[in-house]
Amino acid sequence: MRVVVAEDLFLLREGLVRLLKARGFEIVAATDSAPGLLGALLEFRPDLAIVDIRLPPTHTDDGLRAALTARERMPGLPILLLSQYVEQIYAQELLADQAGGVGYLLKDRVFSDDQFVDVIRTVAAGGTVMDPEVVTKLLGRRGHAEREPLARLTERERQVLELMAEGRSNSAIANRLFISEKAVSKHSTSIFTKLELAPSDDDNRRVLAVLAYLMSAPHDGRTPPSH
Amino acid sequence: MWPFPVDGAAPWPAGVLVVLTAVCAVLAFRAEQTRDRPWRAARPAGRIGWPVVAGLVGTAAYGSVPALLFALHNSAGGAGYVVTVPELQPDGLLPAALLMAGLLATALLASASVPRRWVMSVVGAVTGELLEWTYWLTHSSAGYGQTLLNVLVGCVSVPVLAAFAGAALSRLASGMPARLAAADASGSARWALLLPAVVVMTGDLLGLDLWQSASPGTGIGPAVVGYLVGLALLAAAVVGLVRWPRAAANLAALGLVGIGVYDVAQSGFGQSLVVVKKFGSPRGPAPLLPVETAHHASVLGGIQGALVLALGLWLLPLTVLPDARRLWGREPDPALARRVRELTETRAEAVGSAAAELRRIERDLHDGAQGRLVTIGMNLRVAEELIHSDPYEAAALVVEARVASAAALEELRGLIRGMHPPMLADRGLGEAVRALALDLPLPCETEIDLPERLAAPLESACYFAVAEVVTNAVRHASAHGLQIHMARTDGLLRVEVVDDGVGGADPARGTGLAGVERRLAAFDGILAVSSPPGGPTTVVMEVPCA
Repeated sequence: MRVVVAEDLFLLREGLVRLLKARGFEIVAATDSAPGLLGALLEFRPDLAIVDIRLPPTHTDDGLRAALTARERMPGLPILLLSQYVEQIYAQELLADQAGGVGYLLKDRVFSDDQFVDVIRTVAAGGTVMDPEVVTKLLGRRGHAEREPLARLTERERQVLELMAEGRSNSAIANRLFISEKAVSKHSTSIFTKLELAPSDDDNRRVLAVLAYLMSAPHDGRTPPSH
Repeated sequence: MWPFPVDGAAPWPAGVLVVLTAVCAVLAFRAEQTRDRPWRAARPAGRIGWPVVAGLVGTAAYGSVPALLFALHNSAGGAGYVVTVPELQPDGLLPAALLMAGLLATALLASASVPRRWVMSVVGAVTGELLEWTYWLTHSSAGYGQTLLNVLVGCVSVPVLAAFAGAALSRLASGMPARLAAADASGSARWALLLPAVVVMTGDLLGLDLWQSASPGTGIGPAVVGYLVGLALLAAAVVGLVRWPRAAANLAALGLVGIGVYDVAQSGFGQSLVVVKKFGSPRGPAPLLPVETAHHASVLGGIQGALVLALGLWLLPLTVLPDARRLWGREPDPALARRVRELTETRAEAVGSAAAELRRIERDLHDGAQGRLVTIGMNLRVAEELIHSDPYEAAALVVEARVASAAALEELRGLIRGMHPPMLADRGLGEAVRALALDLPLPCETEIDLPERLAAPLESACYFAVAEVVTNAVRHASAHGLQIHMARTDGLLRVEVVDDGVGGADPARGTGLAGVERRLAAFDGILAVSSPPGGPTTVVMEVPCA
């Protein structure tokens, strides 16, 4: 698999490249700035780009913007964002085109390299992966807990929903919760019914639907607080 | 110029006015002396109240009209005054009433309580009408030549004039405290209210016939013109005192000194100087008066002159002298001095809070990430030794080190958020507040209109101010929802945070709001809280961001 890496910290960039090479990935370009990233993406058209959000020249969200620009020109180009922190706004922007093939992880997750490699493969295959912290924040809005259909979910269904939103497949969820894959699919059907979402067997469609639901929910059918 | 007896009657009404003016001056003096305790100082004046000021304004209106009526009635010659309080010549009533009104209003302004708008107009008009009718009832058959025209003009014009003056006064009074506070830190600009009286007195002194009864036979034209010019001058004095209170106060003080000196001189030489025919006015009917009455009038005029001179001299060090010293560069501008004091205070607070923040960060790093890194180093060192002899133990130690490094990262992330949220650095205040709203555990609507980035220190201060207010709402208000409005207009950033919680937030009771206020003060920003018990709570912050 051909991968472009964009990370401005030398040690981290070299570490990533070493880790990925050891796992059999081909690194076609490793760059340390946003313009370099955009150039490399347009030139090599890789299978995946691993991008640090904060890159030179302005050291703000240049990485994210370069990646989104590249995705506009090459729809569906798989992007995996890495960052020292997660922001719901960035997750929303990344998911805005509803096309899949995106991931957003804390840099810490690189430490657990098996999981990290799984994520890379999922995103490259057009899947969607969100950092557990993003999902926790989405589920943490009180608007959900108190008056949304989410309140009707059982504890187990909530756990399944959380893992689903992170982008895990049925089998991964089954492994994680020590239940059968069949049980997972039963829970997921029940979740979709309760949330009034159209059921889907496609893993990726399913993740996108769940994330879209979580991100839009607080404004649905609610009156703003009165003055 | 001063109240003056006619036809040789006793000068007691003039004495009453002298005493009343003295009382008003004492009240104003007390208010000035105890300006730091306005309510206490204003108590005697407050008891008399704004309606009395309005009554005096009505009286002044009454005093100004007779000049005109006299001319109307006597255009063909004749004698006597058409409209006048018995034994009280109207041309003395006007300046006396205006001076008393100015002195009382000066005292009342210290209390900063302003009556309802209509009170002034109504009381002024009623007073004018009462004086008019009192005269009518007591003098209808006294042979002063009452005609229907005189009565109609008096009954209509006096109350109309008084109502207008009252309305102007109430507008003045409601806007005055803030305006005067802005004009002068020491508050002495309130004395600008004496300017109308000074203008009228000066007019009289110069014998301009503005508010004086015209001599019989002078004709309607000059009287009407003089009257209108007089009104215009009075209006100009009011406009001047509103727009340039300091300058008006200085002018009033200088005018009082001049008039006082003139009056005292008149009193001393009144009997001997040929040109001084009537006290306070070079063209009055003084030579016609009996010697004894003229003597009384001179003495009274001298007392009043001394009073006015004393008032003027007392006002000089409060108004003219500091301004003169400032003009010559001997003394700093009070506004500048106040600004320097503010800046010194807010700078000390800003430096102090920055140092405290650094200490907190140092402590957090020392207790958290630094400690964990030491542990990680030790674990790895031991693992290095054990790697051949006990690989399982070594692997366990490495796992432990990895877990500790994840925890250290987590702590660093929290610390960085507390120092400068990444979103603020990436996208600026608007997006950072939107991100903050998204991360809240309750629904929060945001309406943000910030097309451009602001200066970094300002963004940071505003972000943490909003974060503190929002955190308060979430923690203490039991709110179900929040709204944040943020917009920049005319060089002012305005942030409004509304929650539907229980209310009762009070910056004075030492919650985080006081800290927010201090933080914003470093940028000349202000914080206003409206939080009635039962809610909702609205917090408004305004910071200049030119």
